[in-house]
Amino acid sequence: MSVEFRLVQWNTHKKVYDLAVTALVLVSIGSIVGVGLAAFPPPGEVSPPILLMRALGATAVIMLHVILAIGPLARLTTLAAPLLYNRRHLGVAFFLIALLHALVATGFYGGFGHGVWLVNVVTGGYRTGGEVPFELLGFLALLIFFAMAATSHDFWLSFLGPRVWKWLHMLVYAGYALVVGHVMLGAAAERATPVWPALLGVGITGLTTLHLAAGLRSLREHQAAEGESNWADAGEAASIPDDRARIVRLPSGDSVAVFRQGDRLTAMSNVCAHQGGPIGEGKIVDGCATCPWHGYQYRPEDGCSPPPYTEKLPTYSVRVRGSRVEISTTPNELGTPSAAGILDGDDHGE
Amino acid sequence: MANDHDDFYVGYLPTPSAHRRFSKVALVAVLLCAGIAGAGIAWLMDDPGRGVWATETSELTGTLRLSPVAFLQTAAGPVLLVEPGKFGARDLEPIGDGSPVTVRGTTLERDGHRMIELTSGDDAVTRVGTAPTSITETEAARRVVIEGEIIDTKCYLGAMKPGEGRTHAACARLCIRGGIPAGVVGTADGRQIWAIIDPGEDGVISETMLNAVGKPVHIEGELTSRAGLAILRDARLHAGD
Ligand code: HEM
Ligand code: FES
Repeated sequence: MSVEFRLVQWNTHKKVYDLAVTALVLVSIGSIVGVGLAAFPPPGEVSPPILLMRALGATAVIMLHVILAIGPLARLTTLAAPLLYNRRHLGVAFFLIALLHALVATGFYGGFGHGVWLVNVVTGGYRTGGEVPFELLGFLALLIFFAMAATSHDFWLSFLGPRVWKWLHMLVYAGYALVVGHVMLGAAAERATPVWPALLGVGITGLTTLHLAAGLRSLREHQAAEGESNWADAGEAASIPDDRARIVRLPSGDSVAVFRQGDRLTAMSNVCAHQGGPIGEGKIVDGCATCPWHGYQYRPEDGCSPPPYTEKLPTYSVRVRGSRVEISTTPNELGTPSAAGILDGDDHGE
Repeated sequence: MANDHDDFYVGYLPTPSAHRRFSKVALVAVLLCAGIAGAGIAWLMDDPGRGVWATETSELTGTLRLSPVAFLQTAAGPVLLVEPGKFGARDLEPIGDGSPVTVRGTTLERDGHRMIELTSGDDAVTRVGTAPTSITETEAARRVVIEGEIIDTKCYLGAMKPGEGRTHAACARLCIRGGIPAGVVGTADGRQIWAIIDPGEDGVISETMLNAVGKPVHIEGELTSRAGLAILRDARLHAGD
């Protein structure tokens, strides 16, 4: 794999992805503004800034659902991998739309008077009693989305470390809950028709179903039986498809990807060093195990990314006992060559 | 190398056809859902009312009234006076209650209730005569319980559409604190009510009342009128509202 090739193709894919994101934004805002103008002609019109604010808020909510659906979808089918590949762009676009919504809302409802426009609105107009102002929930959600958008670049991933970064990005679910509260206490409580509860009900049900289905799937992983000292059984060697892997869960809880390339069997951590993607759902491309999420690559023999990249994954020693493959229960030292298991001549192939 | 990834997607390699198809189907599905949801969200918006805010500046002549809020008494009914933005009328005490005046500004009107947003210049309110006119209370005060909503009159009359309800409440509180008259719209004994809430000495309705802006409430008080302007005096909220 050459660096140059990677850059050029990445750009094409990025362009197509950004076009799709733009189409989503245009269709969503366009349908709301279009129908809003047509269904409410003057003198019964909705003020243009309010119509725009509503269109932006609703578009942000729609985008948030798409963002949250892509993760579990990609775990259910690798066909969804292209949707995941540049999800960051969708995330940043979503944040900008939500920010615009907040700017129009705070500017229009909080401006033109005493005080600071942002504070005027976020405090619900300095309300001193009663329930939490719905605007405050939107503001807190926006803060979370800002933190995520600002740290979406891989620089922050390596700067913060995968743990903190992952934790930060799990906050998206808290943000989602805040947005649901923002809409339910605000627009939904005001409107005469339950269009928002209905739409959010569909959204929450859909997302929950997808996440449950994806979770069930990872429960179906092969559980490695504890074998003799430090070796665990990882199933039939020959039933691992060529250039593919089987994901095996060790008694220690570690998830391991056992790859087969012809008669060679190797094992490495199933957790990608980039964003924790499932290496074992990937494939051997150009001799390297390739992550299905963003294509990071690792050499099966030592778990290192090919130069100029420097990522390393722990590997596990592999041996073949009859037709079964066994892996060591503890990982090898990072970056060191690892023992491969070799299948006998007629044991492999489909 | 082409065979390595023909069934496996890597972002920096050409996309396999199965993945391409899946992405296309997913995109079309998402666009359809977004279009339908968006249309529903827009179609099912609440009626924002028939308030109209004139774009042209006009002049009105009548009698200036400064209590309980600033308004112009005219043959065609009362016209509330406010400033541009979320501010009540400037200090008009020097001109004086009962003075004949001409006011300049843009009118807001909804369901026959009127307001004028004064132009920002010094000539927005000019005295046109000397003789002050007295007023006679046309309606005896009666005790009412109004079922309705507290609003800021400027947004309600057409500055914002909708200019009422929960989603607009933060703005309404800002307007009322800025001196724009607070009003109540609703029904009492089966009759439509539109009245200005007497802000009393402070010039602004109470904090309790401000907290209730934009919500359905029961509000009790003495309904009366001054120079044609309906006024609710000694207003208080019913417990629980
Ligand atoms: C500082 C942050 C925010 C503020 C001040 C704010 C303010 C508002 C206000 C005032 C409304 C009522 C608009 C109206 O109908 O008159 C509203 C509605 C809404 N907001 Fe926000 N918002 C914020 C953040 C967000 C975020 C982060 C999202 C979503 C990701 C969001 C989504 C929505 C939606 C979907 C509506 C309902 C629109 C409708 O009426 O159909 N808001 N927001
Ligand atoms: S998680 Fe991004 S490449 Fe593996």
